[in-house]
Amino acid sequence: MYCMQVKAYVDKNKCSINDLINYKIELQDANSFGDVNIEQLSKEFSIISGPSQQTSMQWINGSVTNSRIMSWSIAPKKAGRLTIPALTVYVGKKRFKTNQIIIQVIGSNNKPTDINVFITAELDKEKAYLGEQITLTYKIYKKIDISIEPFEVPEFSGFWTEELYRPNQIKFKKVDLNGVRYQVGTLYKVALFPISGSEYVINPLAIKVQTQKKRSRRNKDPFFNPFFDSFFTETETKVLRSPERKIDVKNFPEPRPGSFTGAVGSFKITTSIDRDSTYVNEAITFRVSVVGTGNLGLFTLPKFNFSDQIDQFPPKEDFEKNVFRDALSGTMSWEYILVPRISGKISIPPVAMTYFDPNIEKWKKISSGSTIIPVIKIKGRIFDNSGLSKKEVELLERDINYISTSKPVWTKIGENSLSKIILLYLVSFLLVPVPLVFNSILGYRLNSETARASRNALSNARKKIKNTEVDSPIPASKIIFSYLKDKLQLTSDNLDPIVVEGLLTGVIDETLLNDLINHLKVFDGSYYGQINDNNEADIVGKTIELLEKIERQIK
Amino acid sequence: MRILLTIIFLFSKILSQSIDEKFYAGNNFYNNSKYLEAIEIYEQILLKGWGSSNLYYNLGNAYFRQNQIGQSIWAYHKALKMNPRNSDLSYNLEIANARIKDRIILPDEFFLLDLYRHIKSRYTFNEWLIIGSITILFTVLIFIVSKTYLFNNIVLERVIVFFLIFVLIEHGIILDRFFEENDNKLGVIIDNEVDAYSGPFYGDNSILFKINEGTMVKIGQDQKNWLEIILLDGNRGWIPLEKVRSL
Repeated sequence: MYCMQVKAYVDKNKCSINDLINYKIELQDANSFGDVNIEQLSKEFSIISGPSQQTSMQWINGSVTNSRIMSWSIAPKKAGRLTIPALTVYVGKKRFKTNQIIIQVIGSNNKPTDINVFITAELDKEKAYLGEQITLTYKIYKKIDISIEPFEVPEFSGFWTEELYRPNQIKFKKVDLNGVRYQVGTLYKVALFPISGSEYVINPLAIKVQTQKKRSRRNKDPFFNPFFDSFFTETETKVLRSPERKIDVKNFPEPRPGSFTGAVGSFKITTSIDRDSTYVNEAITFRVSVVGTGNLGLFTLPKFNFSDQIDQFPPKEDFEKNVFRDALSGTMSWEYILVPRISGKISIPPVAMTYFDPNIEKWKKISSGSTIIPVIKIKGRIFDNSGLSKKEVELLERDINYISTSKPVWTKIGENSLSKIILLYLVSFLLVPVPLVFNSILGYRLNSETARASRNALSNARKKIKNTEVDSPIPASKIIFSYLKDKLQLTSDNLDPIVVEGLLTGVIDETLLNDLINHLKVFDGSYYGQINDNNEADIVGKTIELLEKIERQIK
Repeated sequence: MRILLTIIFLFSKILSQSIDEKFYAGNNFYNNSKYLEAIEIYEQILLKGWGSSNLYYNLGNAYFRQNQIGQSIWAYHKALKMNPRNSDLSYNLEIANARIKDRIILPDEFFLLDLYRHIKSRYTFNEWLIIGSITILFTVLIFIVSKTYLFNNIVLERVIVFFLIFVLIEHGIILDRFFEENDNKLGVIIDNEVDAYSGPFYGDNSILFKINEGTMVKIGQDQKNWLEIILLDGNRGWIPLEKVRSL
């Protein structure tokens, strides 16, 4: 349950013109600080500082109250009955009105109420043309020791401002004012350039100073003798306010020249180029400088055109001001990058501008001399280096290698000497069937797998005999058959003596054949009938002997 | 009459000059910084129908000295086609390429593709054919040897399979080169500030882009004195025939 309340109050209702008033707006049970347009006060008060915000909570009988307080330091602008109007406070979407407060201010309005310390606002002129510089200086005069708190400069609406002087530490000089010796120091100096014609009021500058309050002497107490005084002086905060000043802005005398672009003051115009000549497609910098005193930075150059033969990039504007002068002076410059596209002499017409000189109240037209840029045609390379990689830039610096002087190998253009290559292909493909053709023609299997076996038939047979286990009977007939199979390149070693006879008749002589057949038959008998089991050595010997004989006869 | 005869005689003598002599004469002009004359002689040899990588290389140099970057790049490319492994040639081409005004920057390709292109362009088409045919011949010879069973056939079979794979790769490259050279007609722009139009005539056609000498283009269709060019980045436009020299 919120029951929001808004209250406004001040710390005192009666004060002197140099006092500060603490104005507070308290929001009870609000969940945020509100928005207040405090500027409504500035008619009769000046806001010295604020707002400062503060939140507090209270527990009363178990219920919590929170309050948010916004506070401002304000100072009355004049003496009399002043009113702090009812302000509208917006909290979230809700609207509240504060109460109106009346304050009685004692003092006089006209002269500085305090002759010990006061501020002045000095203008070098009260009537000025549009764009003419007005120098405003705030000075502080003092007779007593004060310390000045940091202050904010009022806004100068309707003017373009250029800060001229704002010291960190105010330097004081001695000065006699109506026979009274003061110390005077400059607080702030600003150049104001009116930007529209009308009458302006310059807001006063308000600063807070602390002075030491002289206390009435107390009893002649040993503790409060003058020696201890310095420890017990009290400080008093005061607000000093400069008087309001008015400025009348005059309009320019008519007729206004067409080439006027807002320059007021006193100027000179010069142009320069960064090189005496340039090459086709090579950039040259054309610089227009306006030097002088006046509202530099507030006007532009009248538009002017270069010839069509030049590519032009938007100018770079630069402003160098001389800070240590009261009048704003300096140099404004515009740098145009020009790229001539054809060779020859390119002339840039004079750059002209018109300004108003407020000192003699007249229009003045100035112009630079015309510029002629000789553009040389380059015989060498014409290109710009934009978009080149580092390697390519490096390559640009280098030169080509020398021509070739060796005797060339000439070829007829358009003729493709493919014949040799086609021949090579043909030869390769013709060679593929060579082994097959060779074999079929000679009827001789060029060292085929079976031929290789035939060659090694005898040694294979020997190996087999050797490898047979000692105790088992030697399969002599099997060895002979497999020898014959290898030797004669047969497909199977499933033979018997009759087939062998048929195969070998006419290949080996008859006696050997008969021996072989007999051996095979005897062996078959011994093998199957186990007749001669003590004749093993004989069988082995006979078998090898027979095979060697056959080997010799079969070629 | 006599003078005329002598002139004709001298003229025919010049014509009958052997190509070699002409070539050396061109080199002489080059050495004396008479680049225009050198170009003329070199071009005459080309007109007669004789070419050589040396000739194209020297022609490229002469054009380069005359600041005709487009023509010089054309000549270097021609020379490179005949002799792809000449370091002078690739060096000069690189320098000439650095002076091209138009830069068409393409994204970097996958490195394997780059490597493949590099290997492919290292040899001319004919050289590739020779390499291919020799490897085939070699494979066939190994096949024949294997049929004699004098050596271990298992090893030989593996060698043959290896060579067959090699042959397949080579002929893949050869096929690629063949299509590249037959389908892609390339050309080099030889003039500056060439306007590329949207159609093969002046008039209502709008200028699509401007192109400067030295840029390599693909040549598309042609129409009476006009050629359609395709830039590396895919832009197409029509330009007059005489502004391109085809490779």
